[in-house]
Amino acid sequence: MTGGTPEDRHEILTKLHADHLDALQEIGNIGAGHSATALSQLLNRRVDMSVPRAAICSIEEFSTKILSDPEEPLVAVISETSGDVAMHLVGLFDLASINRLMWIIRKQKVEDNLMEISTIDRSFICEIGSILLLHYVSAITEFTDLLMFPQVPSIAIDMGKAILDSILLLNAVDYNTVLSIEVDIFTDNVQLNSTMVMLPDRHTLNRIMSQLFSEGWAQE
Amino acid sequence: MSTEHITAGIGEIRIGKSPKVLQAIALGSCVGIALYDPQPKLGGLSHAMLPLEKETRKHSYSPGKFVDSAILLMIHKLVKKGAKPNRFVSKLVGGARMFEIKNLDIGTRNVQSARAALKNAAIPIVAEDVGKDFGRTVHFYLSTGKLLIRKAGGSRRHWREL
Repeated sequence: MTGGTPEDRHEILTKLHADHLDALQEIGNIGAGHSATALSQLLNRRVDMSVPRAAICSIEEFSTKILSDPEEPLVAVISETSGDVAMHLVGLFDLASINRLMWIIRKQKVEDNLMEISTIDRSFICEIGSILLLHYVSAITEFTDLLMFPQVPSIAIDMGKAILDSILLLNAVDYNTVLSIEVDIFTDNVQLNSTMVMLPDRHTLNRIMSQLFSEGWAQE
Repeated sequence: MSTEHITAGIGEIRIGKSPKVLQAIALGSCVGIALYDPQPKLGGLSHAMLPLEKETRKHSYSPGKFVDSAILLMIHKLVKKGAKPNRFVSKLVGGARMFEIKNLDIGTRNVQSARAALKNAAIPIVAEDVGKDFGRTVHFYLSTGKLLIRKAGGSRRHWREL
């Protein structure tokens, strides 16, 4: 865990101990587990997932961690939740995975240039992302007993860094630091990679932690 | 023949002199503000994230992250290097709306804040490529004051001059 000088960090992050991070990873695990099951049913294939990573990093570092080239095209489906917990959940896909996904389901390749895909393909990809995100949200709602109402998801297909930076600005714990809980979902025989990222801001983090650790978390 | 490219990362300000090239990669809702004094061919590029400094909490931060404070700091840095404020011209790039979610339209606010701050400083905006729904990479040629801009996808060679 790196990023920012200690004085740049918001005090809430200094309260996060190993137990707290474990709990956040478990949330990611449960959420992405449901997403993976949904994807598995949709594709009728075995779907695996990685061990979740809860990480604190600076806004600058986040996109370099995910992208090898900042201008590399990325597909992002984002859903905002309202209710007890307001945050953004993001499903990220690379171009190759989107193409394989379209091939599996529609036996049809999307345009090589993702910027020029048809409206119907675009909405189709958004729908798949939406299914994954909604399963994620419903799983963490059950686990934390906090109400979350996901809004209609939105899709962006563009330079990876432009997308990620724009999302992070609204989810930074402070103006420097992001807390992300990431899980990779992938299939065995056909390479299909997606990263589900949950980005709680300071208030959301506080709410989740006080719900999970009623005694062990001193609310701000 | 490749000139040195100096990158202004997110929240950073870079200044330089001809023949250097300043660049900001993959601007989404962030806004790139290019300031140029054509006489000594001195210029600066800021890659700012959020509209207003006063919206921050009391915590330490870098002024380059906010559009209004970034512009003031960039003017200060350029004047220290010998630029004259009355010769400055500016160009704006970025400030896109990447998602159709209402709260995510920070790009528009970034652009509005940049226009207001430049007006306060009496610096004319001579060109803009802002808004819409796509990311942009910008190269700022200090030898001419011209910007080259490209968007995602398509041919990597497709540059638009501004």
